[in-house]
Amino acid sequence: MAAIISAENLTKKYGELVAVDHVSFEIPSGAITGFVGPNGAGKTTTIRMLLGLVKPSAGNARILEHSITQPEAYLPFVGAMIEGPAFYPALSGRENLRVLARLGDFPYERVEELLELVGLADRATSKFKTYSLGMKQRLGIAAALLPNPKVLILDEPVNGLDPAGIHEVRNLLRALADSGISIFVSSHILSELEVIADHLVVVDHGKVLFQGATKDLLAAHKPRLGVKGSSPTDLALLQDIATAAGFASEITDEQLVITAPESFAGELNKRAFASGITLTLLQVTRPTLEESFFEITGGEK
Amino acid sequence: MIRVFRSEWRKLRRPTLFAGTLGIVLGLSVLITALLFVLLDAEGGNGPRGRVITRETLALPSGLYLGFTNFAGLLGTIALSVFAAQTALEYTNGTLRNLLVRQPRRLVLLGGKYVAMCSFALLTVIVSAIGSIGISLLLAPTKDINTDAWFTQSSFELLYSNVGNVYLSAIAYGTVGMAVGIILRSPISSISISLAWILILEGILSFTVDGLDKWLPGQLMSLIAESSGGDISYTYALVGSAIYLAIFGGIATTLFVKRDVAN
Repeated sequence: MAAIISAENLTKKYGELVAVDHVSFEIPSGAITGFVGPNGAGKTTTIRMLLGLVKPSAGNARILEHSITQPEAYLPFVGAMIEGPAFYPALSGRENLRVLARLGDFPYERVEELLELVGLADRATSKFKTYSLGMKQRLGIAAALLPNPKVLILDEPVNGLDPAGIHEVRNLLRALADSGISIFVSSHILSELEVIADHLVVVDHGKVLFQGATKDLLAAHKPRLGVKGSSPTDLALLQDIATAAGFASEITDEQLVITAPESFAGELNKRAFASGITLTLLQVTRPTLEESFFEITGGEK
Repeated sequence: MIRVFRSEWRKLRRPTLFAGTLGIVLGLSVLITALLFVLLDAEGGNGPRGRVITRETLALPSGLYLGFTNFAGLLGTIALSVFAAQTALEYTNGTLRNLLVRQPRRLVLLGGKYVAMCSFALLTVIVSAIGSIGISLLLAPTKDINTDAWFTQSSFELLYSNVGNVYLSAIAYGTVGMAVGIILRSPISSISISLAWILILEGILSFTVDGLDKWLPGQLMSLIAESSGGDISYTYALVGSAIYLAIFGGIATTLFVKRDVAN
């Protein structure tokens, strides 16, 4: 897949503080790419630089083959929601979208379509300040979709949404990606990105720590086997079996957790039986994105 | 630029701002003009700061719009507040980033917003003129004021130039408001600091330091609305104001174009 966004040594300094430090990454076309990092990692600053709102101290990036020094060349094809939805509190949802539609020269019919799409048609005439957080987020997504974009850049789009709202946004993003829109979405809800993101860019302290397919990040870490015998004393025997097979293990929460591939489960069961142990638990656990994330950022859950 | 202008007008036309501002302008211009006539023979005077404006003065060609001229200063402060609030609110609401994503040419965005607000200011001036002239025409007969001179060619010419000057003055105040709004990025700070400077500090300075008023921007801008000044000529006020506006406008435009949008 060709890169729809590519950043090369993108850097932003505020005095002594380096908010984004020589960041380089490529976002493939037609996919959902997650932008992951803890608070203060430089995600929003990077997004602002991509949108021409913040001038880089060094480096460059290209969106749809145009340099970010010429935002007027690519922004007509880009939809964005940055750091939560920002609208005029005294204007209605519809009127807020019309302000942006007029500015971008999009027809008002598009506003109505999008209000329908994000489920705000029945509250279109209500003032923005009366909206719930979920409704505000949905209006923000509608505004981002106004230009019928080729690239959608969303900063924390599910922030503050309830589970049903998160599910709706997830389905919406998947449908948009399936229709050919490339989506670059930042989120601190890692489980969300695990579900929807095809690719990931992981940043921390302004640096890129990982970029690639989500499955590659998850595959880079071995699954774990959780085992338990009928007697508490079995745990020590099971640990000996794991060690003899060359796998690390630890006893936690009255079970033995062995870092080993799924294929070892059968062998373990056989050896345990041979040692007179009846297994009451044999469970394969794959690492979550959250665990992988903390492993590569060196943080703790 | 036209798209920005029309987009800005979608915000300006919201009822609380549009009807509220025009309602206040109409009500105050009618009230201030009505006081000229109602208090015509009162001992305390009927003009601003207790000035006595006689029946004969009101009968002059300029009598038609005298009340409107008296209201010019307030129109300026209203323009300043609207320009400052409409600009600074984009920063506090965080909406500037949305606008810049849809119109990344910052000079075009700023220009379109400015022209839209200038057109709004024109509307306030026209509404004020209509209200003031309307009430003058209604009340003049009740106070035995001869209005023959009001309907002459010279009266109309003076009226047009007066409305033009009041508009120029309002635009000047508005430009200051917009510039301060961009610099401070907060509507409350922008309006309060600007008004405190123009209405209070400049008043004290011009009263206490002889000859200083010819150097103070607020004094010069208000003289434009009055079409002439005692010691300070209209041309001096116009050129002086233009220099101040070029400085304020230049700083604000540079900041708007160059500054990172980080909120």
